[in-house]
Amino acid sequence: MATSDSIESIVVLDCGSTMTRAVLVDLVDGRYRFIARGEAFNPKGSSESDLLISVREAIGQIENITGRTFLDDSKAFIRPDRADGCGADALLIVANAAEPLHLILAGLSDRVSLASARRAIHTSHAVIEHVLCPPFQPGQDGKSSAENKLDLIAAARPEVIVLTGGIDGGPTGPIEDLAAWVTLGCSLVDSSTRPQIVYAGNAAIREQIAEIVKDVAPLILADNVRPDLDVENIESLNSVLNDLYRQKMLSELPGFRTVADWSTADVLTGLQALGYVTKYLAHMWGKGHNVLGVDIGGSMTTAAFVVSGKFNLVNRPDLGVARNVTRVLSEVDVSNITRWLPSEMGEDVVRDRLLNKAVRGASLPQTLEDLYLEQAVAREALRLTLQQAYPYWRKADGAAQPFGPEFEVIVGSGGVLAHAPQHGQAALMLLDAIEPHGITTLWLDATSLAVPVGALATLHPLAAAHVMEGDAFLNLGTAVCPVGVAGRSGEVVMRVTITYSDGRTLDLEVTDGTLESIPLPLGEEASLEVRPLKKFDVGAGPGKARRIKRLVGGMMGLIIDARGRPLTLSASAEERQARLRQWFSGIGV
Amino acid sequence: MYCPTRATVATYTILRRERLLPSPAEVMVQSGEFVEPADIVARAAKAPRPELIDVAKGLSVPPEQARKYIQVEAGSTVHTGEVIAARKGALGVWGKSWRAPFDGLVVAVARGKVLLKPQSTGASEQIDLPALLRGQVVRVLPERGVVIEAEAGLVQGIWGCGGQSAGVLKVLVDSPDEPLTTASLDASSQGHIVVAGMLHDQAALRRAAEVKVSGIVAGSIRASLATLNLRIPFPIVITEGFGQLPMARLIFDLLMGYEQEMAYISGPLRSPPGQFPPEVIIFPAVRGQATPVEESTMIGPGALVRITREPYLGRIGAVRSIGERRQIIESGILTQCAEVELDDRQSVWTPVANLERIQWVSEGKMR
Repeated sequence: MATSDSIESIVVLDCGSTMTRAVLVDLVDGRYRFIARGEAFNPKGSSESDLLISVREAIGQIENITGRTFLDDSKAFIRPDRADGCGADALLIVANAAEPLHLILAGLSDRVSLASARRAIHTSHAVIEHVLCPPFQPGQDGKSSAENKLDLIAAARPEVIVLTGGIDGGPTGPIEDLAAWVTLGCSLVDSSTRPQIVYAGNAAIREQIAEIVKDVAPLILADNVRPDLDVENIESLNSVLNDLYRQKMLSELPGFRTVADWSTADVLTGLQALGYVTKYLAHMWGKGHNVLGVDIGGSMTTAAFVVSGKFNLVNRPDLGVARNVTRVLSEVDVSNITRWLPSEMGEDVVRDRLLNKAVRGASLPQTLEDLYLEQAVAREALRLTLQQAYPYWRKADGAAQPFGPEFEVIVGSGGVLAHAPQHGQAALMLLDAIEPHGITTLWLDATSLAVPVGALATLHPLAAAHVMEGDAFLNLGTAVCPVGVAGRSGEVVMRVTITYSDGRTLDLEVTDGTLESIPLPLGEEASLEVRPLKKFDVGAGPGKARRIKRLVGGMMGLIIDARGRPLTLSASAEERQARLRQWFSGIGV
Repeated sequence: MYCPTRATVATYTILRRERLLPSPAEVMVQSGEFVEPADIVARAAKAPRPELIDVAKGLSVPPEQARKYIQVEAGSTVHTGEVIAARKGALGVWGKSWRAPFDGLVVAVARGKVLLKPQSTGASEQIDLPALLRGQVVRVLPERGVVIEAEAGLVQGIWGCGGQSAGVLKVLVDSPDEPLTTASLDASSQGHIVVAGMLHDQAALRRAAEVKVSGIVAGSIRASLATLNLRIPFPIVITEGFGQLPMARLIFDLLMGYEQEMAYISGPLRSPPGQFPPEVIIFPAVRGQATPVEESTMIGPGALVRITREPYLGRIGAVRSIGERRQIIESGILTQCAEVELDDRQSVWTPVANLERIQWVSEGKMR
């Protein structure tokens, strides 16, 4: 394998559920730069939907852009870089093109081991279909609870059963009983399709669990997710689930194994890559700063974050703006979606259009009202995903933070954000869904490089750093978002002074409900002083001023978001739509 | 131009489909044999339901101690009355034992519980797998089923639900924009695959279930109806999408032309990778010249396409040209577009991403 010192050109393939992207990074004048990108929707409607087709098409687009050759006569990737300039030194693959793992979670305590296991599962490509947690209630059909447990496993046919429970060295009987039920349930499934059991409970009885499960289902032992009542360890289970996703789901995709054979390193999942990027950004931004990265995809929505120096990630592999839009519809009322639309759209029309999008994930909104509908769904998908993040956002003393932590940086990734025709639309989606507070800089992964850069970081950290600093993200602007409740509409909530680099100053009096973009050209520096009134807080405490010595302008300049937290939309459709149009106008949409 | 989304509509083509059972089965036909839709191609015995025996409870011992009293292993067979587990009492008397309630196979033993499956008596229920297709068996997959090759008409849909079935095609409407109504469904529809322009009436669906149709093919369905989880006992195939979209004229005409012919309908949508989309396959009594479908992900001028988004959702047309440069569309998105001449001769520009290629195979030609 080539060492990172000898690697100059790298192609990263990002195989998503709807689209495959190929990104070329190469050494230019001593620095690694993003050179070209190709993207192709995955084939649909074919008898052999083959990942190779879209991979070759995406690589072909890079060939057209650069005039270089990356595929040989047999359409295989050329690696390493040949003397004639064909090929690349390395090829990396990030993939989440397959369906997530469907699993049954079995555990003893909903608030202890099951809670930790859920967090591990939420950081992986897996969906919990059922939870088994004693005591079991008899079913309505008159069957005993025992029969129901067995039937559930046999009928659900999950790919994986995660079995957890008990602290290390704690009581063993109940978890062994549960292991027995799971084993008996698995025995009803045809031996060729029996689920993989993953044990992540009381470590003291691993041998006993292996004894119970043996000869019935395959078993993987992971670390206990809750070795002690106040200790959580989800990394081991998370790693096992990621491996199983690669082995059981990705490997089964037609064409995937051929593409995987071209790779220089192990195939990464999209979550791992996004995690690397978020950690890197937090490192770059400096200690003590909170960073949030969100990715809204066609079938999956993810939030990765570093809060108080600790990294975590939550994933909803069943929520998205295309293939998995139906899950959004099943989890929120249609009115939650239409509340973000600036004009009326009937409930039936919304459902019809979204289901059409679900079956034709690659299609693009041609009309403005269709675009706003997709962006509305993106807001709801992200809001649903972030609900899982709140448990991680407690203060050090365990107290809840009603609006989450203050994030210094928020990075938005995913097609619906990257392809938003106006940067104000991308900024507004992030502000509406995340509702940040304090002072936050919004970045956009406009060239869809976040995931490829995350993969690059695992092979060549220097190349990743160069691309991240030079090409990866677009500064949308810094948003000032006070928290507080105005006594009356139109009340002044804060005063803002911007001092531009040429000495000019701009003083603003911001009233409640304002959403406005203040000119500060991209890259231009200024200083900022925010003086909230005593009922309002911009991160320093109620009524306390904040000063930012060096503020760098983004595409939307400086964004003032004084719409309040939580963001409340009028119940009157007419009033709400008028307000939305006002906000659109305020942010230049 | 790369266009990865497509649906095939063929008046007469040659195709292969698998017919398989999930459990070990006896294949009833041989390679080379011709089969009719009602012919049974594979048969399996329905597995009897295992019974759970809580030995630990019966012997009044803790589950962790039960293993030493259990006298059977997973995989062993037992006969009625045979001791499964026994525990001696004090001084070797007053012990307890548990006997097999029937002849059976021990499926699993865990934590004092035994899962016992009744032995098949030979008279147990059978699962029969009908061919549903008319064609020739070209491959036997041992213990699973067969691959059948057929010369047939083919309509692939965009959405579907239910399983697979077969029946005679019956068109219940006069035009592709007419919805299915309760009035059009009577006892004469029993066992038929019925065709309508649209599906937006829940009562009509219920009526179709009452008269026991074998399946429904329609141009569109309201999303609210598709997500109702009505437990519809037959397959549905939707050709255009969700909403109130008429069936494409060429599909409607094809199905009209095949009225009263035997057909196969397959509704499952979320099939494993590599499987076929929802589809209807028609086996005309009079055979014609079968043209194979050559799958392609490319489109160019002349290609027949369906537009998949508003404002032209569901419209069919032919590609006139593909823009050399990306262009800004009404929503503001910058994307590659194509000029499409619609069936009413109107020419519109639409993103290539919103085109679904219709692989139209007719009279020995493919378009």
